[in-house]
Amino acid sequence: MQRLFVKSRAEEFGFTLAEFCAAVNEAAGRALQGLRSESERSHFIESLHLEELVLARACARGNQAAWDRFLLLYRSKLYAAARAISRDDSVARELADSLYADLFGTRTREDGSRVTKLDSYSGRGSLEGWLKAVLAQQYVDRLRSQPKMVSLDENVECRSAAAVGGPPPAEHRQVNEATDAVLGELSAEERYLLAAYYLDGKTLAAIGHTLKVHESTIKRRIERTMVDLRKKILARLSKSGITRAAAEEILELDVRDLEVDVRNRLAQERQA
Amino acid sequence: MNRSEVEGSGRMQRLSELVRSRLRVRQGHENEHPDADLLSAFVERRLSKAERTVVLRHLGECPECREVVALRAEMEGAHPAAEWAGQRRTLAWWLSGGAVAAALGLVVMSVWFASGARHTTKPVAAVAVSPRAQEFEQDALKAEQPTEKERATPPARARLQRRAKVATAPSPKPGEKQAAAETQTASAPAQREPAAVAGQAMFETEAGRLQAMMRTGAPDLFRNSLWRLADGRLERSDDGGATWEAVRAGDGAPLYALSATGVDIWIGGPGGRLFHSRDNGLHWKAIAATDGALPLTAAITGIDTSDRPTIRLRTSAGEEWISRDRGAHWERRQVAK
Repeated sequence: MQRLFVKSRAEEFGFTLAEFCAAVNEAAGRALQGLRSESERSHFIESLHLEELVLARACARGNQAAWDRFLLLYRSKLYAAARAISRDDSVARELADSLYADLFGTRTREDGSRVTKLDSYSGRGSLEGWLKAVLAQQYVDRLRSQPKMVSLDENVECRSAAAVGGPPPAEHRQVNEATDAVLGELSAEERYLLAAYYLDGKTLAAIGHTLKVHESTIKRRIERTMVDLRKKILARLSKSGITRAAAEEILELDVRDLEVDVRNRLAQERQA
Repeated sequence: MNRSEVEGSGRMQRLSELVRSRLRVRQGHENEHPDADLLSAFVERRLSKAERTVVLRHLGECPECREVVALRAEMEGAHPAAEWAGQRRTLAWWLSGGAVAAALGLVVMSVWFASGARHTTKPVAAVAVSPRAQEFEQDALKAEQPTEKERATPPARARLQRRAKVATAPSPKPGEKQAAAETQTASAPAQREPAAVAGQAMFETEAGRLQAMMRTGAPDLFRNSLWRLADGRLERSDDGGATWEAVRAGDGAPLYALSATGVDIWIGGPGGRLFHSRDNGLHWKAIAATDGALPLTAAITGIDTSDRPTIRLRTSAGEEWISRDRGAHWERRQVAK
């Protein structure tokens, strides 16, 4: 720890060795509990961004030199990142200023110390990366807090659909159950790929960029997952007593046919 | 690669719809989210395999965290694999003979145009679009530009040429000068900020300098200055950003904020340090911002002078300090959270 203490330049910001050890233990916290051997633990601690962790903790303690260094290193990057996320100067300024306020801490604890977001940085990723992730979280929260604009027609349609939607036919329920079961068996990565691609509408390149693999690899994985998925759904349907041909026929149906045909039912109700 | 290539047609498209509808049912039931540090470490590939699996499992069912991770990855810049893909596609195109066919086609077309329209245009189309010719063109352009050495030591001649250009430019009407100065300040960072100094304030001050020159007659103010903060120091460039010189300003403490409008330069730093120059950095005045008896003591992290004479300061304490009379009196506001 003495070597890491020197390497992290903790002394520059007024940390003693004991305080440094306490800060590292607190930051590593839960992750250290899962590691059994001493070598695993020391390897884990070595892998932390200790210099940046010390800077963050020193800022949290209100050390002026640490703040000077923090602002020098990250101020312009933070504004640039906020601009990159929001693509709007005024929103970027708001995001970055709001984060500054959180980092500096506008509330105080009973002992007089400030409550600062910097306390939650644990040194796993880089401090710059953490700041960017916090900015991204703030931006997503901001978007979610804005009221969604839904047209009146759409709204009425949705409510009507909810009102008339009855239980789906038995075989459609079986398909849904089989699909849910097979989706549940997928690996974490496969499920992430499908969700990012089919639900979020991300491009292969964007997903590849996030996972740091080439887009053609992502394409292959998604295609393979979908082929496996189909096979497994058919197998499950066959097991539940549906013939292979019938099962294939059900899967050929448009998904919209698998759900209750709301429009037909609405029309029937109007006629009645 | 487009979506239809992956989703295919017919039965796989139907399956895609089914998967989409069933995945949607599973979304948003996660209550505990990984913290920002874990998500960032995930993007930076610094998690163990087990931790990565846990994060991926969460991401599969949490649209918010997927969006955070996607935004965080976007800020990383282009991934080398993607860049290599672009290069590989270009290479493949060259190797496939596509370039040869395109060049041949263009040559044929240019000959055809030349024979049909001898008196109108010269047959240069093929030369202009050929990549090889573009390289030559770029080389020629490079040859016209000053060398690295020339840029490093801007000759007096270049400076004189710039002065001559400014002097011969049509003089704006008195009412237009202020507007021109402000428009330039507002648009300059977006249009002209080079990638190398991204995130650092930089303003061109042409119109404002003309005004000041007319007022004071000081030839030094005529220079085509750019301003920036580098490692907490104020720097000025008089040769369009090729070379930068440190400017003595403030009390030696690192600087965090800069705003330049015309010859009006504001800089701020730690402990509420605020300095103002009205003559393009020749003389500086320390400004003590106080709201009643309350002095500004937090670090100044941003200065906004776009709404002059109102000056707005942002501080590390989440405050906004506003002066409506160019810094004579100040009002403190806590920025609402």
